[in-house]
Amino acid sequence: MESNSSPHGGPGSGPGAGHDPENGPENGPGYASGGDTGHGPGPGQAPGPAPAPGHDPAAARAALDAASETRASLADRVDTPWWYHAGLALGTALGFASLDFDYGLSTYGIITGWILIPMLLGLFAARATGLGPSIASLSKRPKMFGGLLLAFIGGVVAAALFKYFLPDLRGVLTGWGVLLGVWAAVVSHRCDDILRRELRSRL
Amino acid sequence: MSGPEPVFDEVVHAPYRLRICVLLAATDTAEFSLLREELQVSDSVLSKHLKVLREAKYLTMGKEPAERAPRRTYVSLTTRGRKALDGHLAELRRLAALAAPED
Repeated sequence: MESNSSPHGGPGSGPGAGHDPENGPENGPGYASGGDTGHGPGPGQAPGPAPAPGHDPAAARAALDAASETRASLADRVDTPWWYHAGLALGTALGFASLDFDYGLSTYGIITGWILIPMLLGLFAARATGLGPSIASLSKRPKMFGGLLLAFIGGVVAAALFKYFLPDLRGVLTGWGVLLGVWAAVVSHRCDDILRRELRSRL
Repeated sequence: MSGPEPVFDEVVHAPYRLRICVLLAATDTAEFSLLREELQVSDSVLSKHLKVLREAKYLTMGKEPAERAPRRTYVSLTTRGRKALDGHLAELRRLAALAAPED
């Protein structure tokens, strides 16, 4: 078992399970050493305290495996509802359409489409699935995300130019908004796939 | 230098807390009941571990407004918590590598 010689042990880390002041069954399955997988106690087997990995590579490996398994089980839950993607597309298009057909309501359209709708969608999606949107969880954004962001900013700049130089031209920005909306929905959907893949990878 | 510095973290070390942190690191936000189902523990056990992590400022918890029923609790890892987890995982990897030296 472990000793008190762990280089990690500070003043509070005593021998045995001293790394955790709350040892007991509620502390979870202990890290196994040797052949145990460390994923939990067997039937009738009391879960032990959590020994510090200390210098025990097997215990550290078991802890990593348990963490990997936990991540993998979460992957099955990553399934953002279809209406989240659809709503994102709608909100994006709405913002551009309100810029296009400006009847004094473009500010409301932008606030609704680009701020309120995504925010509410995120809240409702979290309520429906128990998880935040996958796009916010990724360690790395998909490549398409950068392109989408650029296209979005480009669209906003174009909107300003259209307003100034071609104030009578209607429909172009709405079309651009619809295109970006579909793009956003695809990216959002793709984020689910990427997150699932990330979660299934070993730690 | 690349990657987080391997640092053993006493708070993250406990098996359930390590799993909680790993779950939260993989998601922006997770609901209390989802964590409970994933870990297969009781409310009280989960609450206890969340409290330890919260006291260490490793996570934040927020409840829905009172008029919504049932009120749901959402949990997120803080930057500090993420850093602690990354360091702890790096340390576990370092230790695990001792058993399996590169061929």
